[in-house]
Amino acid sequence: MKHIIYLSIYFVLVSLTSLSAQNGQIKTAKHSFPVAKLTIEPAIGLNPYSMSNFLVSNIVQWNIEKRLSIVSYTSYAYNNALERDFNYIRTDYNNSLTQKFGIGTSLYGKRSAHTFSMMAGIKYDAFQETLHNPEFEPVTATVKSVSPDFGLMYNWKVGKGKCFFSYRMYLPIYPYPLKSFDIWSLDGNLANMTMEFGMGIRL
Amino acid sequence: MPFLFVLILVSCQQEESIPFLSEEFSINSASTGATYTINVAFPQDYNPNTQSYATMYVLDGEENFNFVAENCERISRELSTSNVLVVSIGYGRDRAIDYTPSDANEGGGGAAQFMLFVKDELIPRIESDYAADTARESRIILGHSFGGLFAAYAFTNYNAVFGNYLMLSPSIWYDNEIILKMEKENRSSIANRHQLVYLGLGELEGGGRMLAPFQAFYVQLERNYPGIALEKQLQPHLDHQGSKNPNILDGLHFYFQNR
Repeated sequence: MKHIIYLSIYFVLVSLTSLSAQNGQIKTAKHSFPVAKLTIEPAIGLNPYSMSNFLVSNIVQWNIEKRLSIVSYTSYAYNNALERDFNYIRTDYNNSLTQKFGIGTSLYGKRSAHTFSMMAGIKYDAFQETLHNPEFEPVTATVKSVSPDFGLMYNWKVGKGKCFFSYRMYLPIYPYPLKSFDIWSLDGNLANMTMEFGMGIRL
Repeated sequence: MPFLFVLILVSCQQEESIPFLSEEFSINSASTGATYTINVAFPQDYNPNTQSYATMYVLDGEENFNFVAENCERISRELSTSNVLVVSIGYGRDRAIDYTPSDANEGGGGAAQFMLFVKDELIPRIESDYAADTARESRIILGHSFGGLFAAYAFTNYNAVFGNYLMLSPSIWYDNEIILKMEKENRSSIANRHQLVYLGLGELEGGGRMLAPFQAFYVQLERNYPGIALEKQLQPHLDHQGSKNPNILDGLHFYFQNR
């Protein structure tokens, strides 16, 4: 029952965001936001949950039609950037690479566009820690992991010229609820959530 | 839309739960000065006249009791072995006091008093009021995070109390890995005992503190304890909280199969 409530809240929030964007558009839109066939949107961002995972990313959006697009998203994240040596535990490296594809729909305002995309892909995480406490012999441990990555991406574009401002937010739906129905596994979703800001180019 | 449909379908799945009988009481601890709510779950075939049962002490009881009790019943049935009494220890003082072995930035160092409460007040009461086996080999302690740290502390400093330890994402990093030091200090007196230890972690616990000390603790146990039944598990694609229940399940399987 708890799961159903959480999921319902999740979708109500997503739907409200979408509706609010659509209402804004109905009031003000003159459909003058330029729709390019292809946009490229490099950005920088972070994971708002940890506030210490920073990333660079790029979205390529191909608008098949005005309201239908295919999206490719690539990112590299430098994780745990702010605490690399804690209690004699050194983070030797901690990186993530993500490649995912999605299908999206866009709502247009006068000066902006809102694109909602369903994304699917893979995430590669690699990290290594070394315990260098002088009281013990050093121990190094490594994790290399490939995991599925599913989620909903919201992308906001503002600006009419060849270049525009781009903001995007990614809400993962993995591991909860697709891998596990355990509500505790939501911390994995939160750890993979991102907020990004960048510049887009219309081609 | 299909995406929404799939999620709604997934959200409608029902979790099968196994009912169990339980009793609740409180203990005002002389050791810690706090009051602890204790729940005891009974095996479905509980018969105090004919059998005595192993006892599993579950830390962070408010969060973990139901899940552990249901799955002890389920797994013991699957393996056709006798179930255990599950004893949930609720919060008394802050867990960052009760479960931590020394006074440091992240905790208050009340584990010694909390251990006295468990050893001298809780266990005698459970073993006098219920059909609990009093042998060390029949006592299990299960804890996650700081609870896992406390289970590790029980292993190193009060090894005569419990024979079985399920340590899930234990905070071995605590106070410059003080648990590794305690293990080293007490090793000579405990290394030859029979022990069962399950160490679980989430594969994606990459916050720069969990993995290396976890591995160091595992290496110390593997190298120095000839009589140990030891298992290490990293739950794929899961983080600190998400790995807890999968590690409880794997830890329970390991216990019931190897006790």
